[in-house]
Formats: sequence, C-alpha cells, structure tokens
Amino acid sequence: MIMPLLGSLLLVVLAAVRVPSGMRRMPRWYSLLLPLALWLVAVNLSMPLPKSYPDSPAPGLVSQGLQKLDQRGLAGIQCVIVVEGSSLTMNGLDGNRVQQVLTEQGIPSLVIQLSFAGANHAERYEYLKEFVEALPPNQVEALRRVKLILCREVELGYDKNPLSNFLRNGSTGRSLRYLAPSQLPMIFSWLALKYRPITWIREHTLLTNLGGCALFNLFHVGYLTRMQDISPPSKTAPFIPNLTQSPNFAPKGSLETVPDPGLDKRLTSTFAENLAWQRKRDSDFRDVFRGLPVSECFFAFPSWSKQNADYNVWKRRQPGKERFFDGDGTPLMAKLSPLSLWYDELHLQEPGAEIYSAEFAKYLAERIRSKDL
Amino acid sequence: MLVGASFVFYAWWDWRFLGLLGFVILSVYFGARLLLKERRKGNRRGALIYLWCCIGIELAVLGFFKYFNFFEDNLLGLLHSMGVHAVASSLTFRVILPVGISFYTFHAITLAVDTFRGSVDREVSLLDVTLYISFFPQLVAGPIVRATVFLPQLESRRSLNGDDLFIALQAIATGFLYKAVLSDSIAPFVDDVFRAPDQFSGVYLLAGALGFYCQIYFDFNGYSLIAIGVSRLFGYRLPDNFNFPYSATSFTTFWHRWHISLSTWLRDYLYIPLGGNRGGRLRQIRNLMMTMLLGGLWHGASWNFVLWGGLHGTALCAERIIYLSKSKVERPTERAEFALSPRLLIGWCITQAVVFLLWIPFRASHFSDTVQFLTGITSWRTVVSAAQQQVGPIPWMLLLLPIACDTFIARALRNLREKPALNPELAFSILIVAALSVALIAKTGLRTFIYFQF
Repeated sequence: MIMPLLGSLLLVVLAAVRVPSGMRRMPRWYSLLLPLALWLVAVNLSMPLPKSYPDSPAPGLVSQGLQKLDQRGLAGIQCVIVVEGSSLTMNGLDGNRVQQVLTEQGIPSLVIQLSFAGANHAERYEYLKEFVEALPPNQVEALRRVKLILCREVELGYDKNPLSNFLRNGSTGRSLRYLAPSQLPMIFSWLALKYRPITWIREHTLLTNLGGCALFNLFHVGYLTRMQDISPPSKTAPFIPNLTQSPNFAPKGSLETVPDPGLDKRLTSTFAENLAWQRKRDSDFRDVFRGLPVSECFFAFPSWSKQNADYNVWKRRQPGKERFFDGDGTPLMAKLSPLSLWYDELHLQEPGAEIYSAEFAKYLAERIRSKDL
Repeated sequence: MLVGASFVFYAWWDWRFLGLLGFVILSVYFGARLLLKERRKGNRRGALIYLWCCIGIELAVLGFFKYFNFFEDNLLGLLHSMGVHAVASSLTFRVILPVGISFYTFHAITLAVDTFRGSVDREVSLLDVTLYISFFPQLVAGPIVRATVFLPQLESRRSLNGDDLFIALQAIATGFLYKAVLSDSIAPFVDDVFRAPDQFSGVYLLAGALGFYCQIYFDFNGYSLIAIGVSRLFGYRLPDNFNFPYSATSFTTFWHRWHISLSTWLRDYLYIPLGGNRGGRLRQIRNLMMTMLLGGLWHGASWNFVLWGGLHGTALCAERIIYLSKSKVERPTERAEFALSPRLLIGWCITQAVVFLLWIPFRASHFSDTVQFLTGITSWRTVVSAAQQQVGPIPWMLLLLPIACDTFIARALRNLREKPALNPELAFSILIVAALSVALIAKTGLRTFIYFQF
C-alpha cells in the first residue's frame, strides 16, 4: 500500500523540481554531497541492515537457536556447545544427538546448531554474530557460568575461499545480508592475499558483484519493498538429513587418511597459502563472543575426496588445531566405510550422520573430562 | 573510449554477436561512403543502387536473425498441414535473436538513407559511424536516433553544465522510478493473470490488462529516460521517446507521443517514401496500413504483433476518414494543457480504451488467450480457482494511482509554461534525496526490460 503512494509522490516531486533554464554553472559541491552524506547516515542509523533480508536463512537459524536456549534454560547445564558449519554439518551432524550422547555420558549439555547448505565463512560468521548479539543480558550472564564451546567446521572448499558460493547465490538477500560492513576487513584481507593483478581481471565478475552488493547495502536499495515482501522470516532447520544417495556418487579409493609423510608437498603448499587470512578469520570468530570465555574445537568430516582428506590431515597438524576431530584414531572411519551411509563424496546420509554425531559427542566428552575443552 | 565501452557493454550480453554488430557497422560505413561518392558525382542511379544494397544488407541481417524462426515455424506449420512431416522436421533450425538488432539495423538504414537524401553530406569516419550505431545507452532498446541528430554532436565540443547535469539526473531518477518501482511491482500480477487467463474472473482480467497498460509504459519509458539521462551525462542529447501518451485524445496524437523515435522513423523512412498523404484517400489508407503492419512486425516475429499493428492502423485510418470529412477546427488538436472539454474527454476515453484493449494481443502468448481476455471481460465472468486465490486481492492502488499521477499531475507540472525554478542548490539537493528515496523503495532483482526482446 505504501509503495504506490510513495512512488506517486516521488513521481510528482521529480516532475516538479527544476533549476533555472540554461543554468551554465555546475552546482556547488555541497548541494550534491551534503544530502548524500546525510542520507547515508540517516538510513544506516535508522534502518538496521540485517533485518532487511528476511529471505536469508540467518533469521530462522538464529531465532531457533535463541528459542532453544530460552525454552531449555541453563539450569543444570554444564556445557553449551555452539556448532557452525555448511551443508556438511547440516547433513552430517545432528546437534540433538550430540546433546543426548553428552548427557548420557554425564555431561548435561545444550547444543545450538547454526549450519546451512552453501554457507561460506562470511555467512557463518554472520549467523554467529547475529546469534550472540541477539542474546538477552540475563542469558549472557548465565553463559558465563557454564562451559561455552564453539565447534567450527573445517572443509577445504570453504577454507580456500571464504566467499565460496557467493556468485551462485548472486545478489540475493542471503549474499547481501552477509556482505555487511563488519565483513569487509576479512574480505579485503582475503582478496589482498589471494589476488595478483591478472587474477583481478579474471575474477572481474566476482569483484563487480562484490562492489555492487556493497553499494546496494550502503544505500539500502529496495529496503522498504523487501520488508514488505517476506514476512515472517523464512524458516529453516540446522539439521536436514539426507535420505537418498546421489546418482553420481561413485567413489574411488578408501576413507582411510594418508599419514603425514605421505601428503603431497605441492598440495600442502597450496593449503598453506590460505593460512594468513584464516588466522584473521579465527580471531574474528573468537571476538564475536565479546568477552565470554569460549573454548574452540574444530571438526571435519571424513571424505572420499583425496584432496579433502589430505587437507583434514594437514589441518589437524596446524598450530591452534589441537582440538580437532576428524575421526582419526577412532573407529569412525571403519564405521563410515559402507557406501550406503553416504550421499556423495562429502555428505553423509542419515545413518551416517547418526554415527558421526555419536562419535563426535564421545570425542567432546573425553576432551571435556580431560579439561582440554 | 565510448566506442570501447559500448562494445564491452554489448559483449557483456554475448560476445559472439560483436561480429554481427561489427558487420553492420562496416557494411553501412562502406555503403554510405560509396553512396556519397556517387551522389557527389551526380550519379543518382548509382547512389540508389548503393542505397538499396545497404538497406538490403541490413534488412537481410534483421530478417535472418529476427524473422527466420517465425517464417520457418509458419512454413513448417503449412507443410505439416499438407502432410509433409519428413521434410518439415528435417528443416528445423533455430536462430538466436541478438539483443538490440532491431535498433542498430535501423540506425544503419537511417545513416544510408540520410546520406542518400543529402541530410548527411560529409564522409563520416569509421569511428563516428561506430559510435553512432553502437552508442551504448541506446544500443539495445533505443531511442532510435537520426544520423542528422547524432553526428553533428560528434563534431561540436561537448561540455557538461549545470542544466545538463540536472536534466540527466532527473531523467535517470525518473526512469529508475518507472522501471524499478512501478513497472516491476506491477509485473508479477500481470504475469500471473496472463499466464492462465482461463483461471481468472472478468475483474481480474480487466485488472491484468490494465496492469500491462501501465507496465509497458513505465518499463519502456523508464529505459528510454535512463538512456537519455546517461547520454546527457556524456554530453549527447537523444530525442524524447515518450510524451505522456496516455493523455492522448486521438490515435494520431497517441502515436505522436508513444515511442516517438520509432513512429517518426516509420513516418519519415517508410510512410512518406510509400507516398504519404499524397494521392487519394485509398492510397493514404494503404500507406498507413502498410506502415502500421510493418511497425507491428518490427516489434517481434509473431502474428500477435502484426494484429496489434494492423488494429492500430485501422484505428488511425478510421480517425483519418472521420476527420477528413470535417473542418480543421473540429479536429482534436495537440494542446499543451489537458483541457477537459467534453469533446476531448470523449476522444480521450475512446482512444485510451482502444489502446488499452490492443495491449492484450500484444502481451498474450496465443491468440486464444486474447479471446479468453475479451470474452472474460465482456461477460464479466466469475471464476473460483487456486490461481486466482494465490494472486490475492487486485492491487488497484498500484494499478491506478501512479499512472493517474503521471498522466495528469506530472504532465501538467512538466508543461507549465511559467515554471517556478528553485534555487539551483536546493533543487539539486531535492533531486538527490528523491533519487535516493527511489532506491529505497525500488524492487530488487530487476526484471529484463520488455523492449530488450525486440
């Protein structure tokens, strides 16, 4: 209703406004820049950007996490475990199962899962940040009294490119939402580290899209119509099990990981190229909790892709990745070796997810007991 | 630099058709040079041969890429109806329509004809021809610019002054408002109704047709205004393409106000060469009908467009027959103000009702859909269907308010003779805030402009 009214009003204003005909001189700078600057300040202060993308999965995930925390409460809880990840986690890790196994093992826990298909580092960071920022003060205080653990997914594709899938999702509310100003330092550091001049030319589509999205956000393009179009926020679930197998799944080799000396040196040097921006990203994730004591734990899924499996082995050896679960040294690899447990090379089916979740929970329990976490 | 930008702009859509664009440019460049040489020698016959060669090449390009599939489909249909299935299926061959081909081939023809007529009386450099044909703001959907309007601008020194900047920003902001706010908001409703007209009640069909009546105007005028504004920023002035056509009180004035660059092109390069108003009444009517039929076909390779052009031609002929029998004083005149005299009001109602109805075959996918629309509206049928429920209530406010504001208020404001001008700085500030407000209420994920398909 408001849009035709505003549109008609603007139509009349644009038709009515005029300058003296034959104006030779250019307008003074302030007549262009001052309204622009005032406008930018006004819209960016009065119209919170994240709320303007209700079609993104973020609002659904965050509200479910908050709801779970609110309903269960923290009375009698020893650990709150926040899990973040992409489709691998969404298909392969059942937060409720992890919670159940931990409780059975004598560690009453609450698992908040923030995972979604195609979620890259930028998007996952945004979920987490929005979740923490939405916590009411009493829950922040309550979280200080329990053990808070952040479990982060490790996967080669996303670790190589924090904006992986950005072009696939295009200028949708989903991509625009996570390209908020808070993400720009990470994006710039990644671009600066990765890109040589020739790469800039080759990747012009990505760069122009990034620039376009940044301007889109800065000027709040389409803010009012988006708010009208999608309400309430789109719903999603953090754990969506796969029930079938991909017809293209035809793995070669085995799930067994290669021992350290067997790693391809060329591969490991390409893995290492990404370490610089990943360190920055790791500290960003820790800073999200704004002073809350948080322990960090990494997890990876076994993979039929040799490159991914090698990456997991290599990643486990990096400093700061002492608390890293990929099933190495556990019966997990043997348990997940039947092909029927897999959807494709990387994603598990529901029974596979059940096994992985239980093993992961056991790993966590062991680490919590040994005060490692 | 502009030539380079124009080629990058075109290549962004599909770089493979750069070759075609280059071919059109080179063919008209060499054709116009040879033609000019013959004309200067006083060899009219030789010049005429070169002119027809140029026109033939451009029409062959246009005909092949735009109409091949159309003629092929019709031929196959004919062969199938005659029972010749084997031959028909072996002939199947699809041609992709290059974006903007109707516009840049018309630019090429314009240059050749204007050179033949002497309106362009100098050797135009290859760079100038290239920029004229490929200038990116008007490359894909016009306006169709005359060589006599564009080429002299290349010779003069261009500078951007306050007036240019204001007009450019105003045109871009208005164009963006038309497209991203109004046209794209109406489009989903129109698409839903036209997708399955048999699923909707008469009132929905009426609203859907009204929606397209508004959508096509806002969409095409939006593009034209953006093109005019962007060109102005580079110091080039493109002609107006629309002048509030939905305020027209006769079909003649409607065509003076709708897609002006095409209607005047058809008048000067088709209607007048065919004989124009010379000869008897029958001859005039024949010329007019041919012009309008070809104008309809120019829009797209479909019988719907031919029907649309033909019916507009019929309306123009009927109007001409009626007014030829009356004195000049009684004809509706082009007035700056929309005077509400009963005669003009009746003229406006009839003209707009016919224009409104004729947009239905223009938009409908099949002739049967047009029939569905017309029978649905006239019988005022009631339908209960899932499709109708899914669409929800008719957005009357969206369909009526902006077009009424544009046709009556915005037009009156634009045509004010004694325009109260604001302090320049204040005017620019208001313009900037209005443009930013347009962005705030715009639809995201812009739809393709309707005229890109032509």
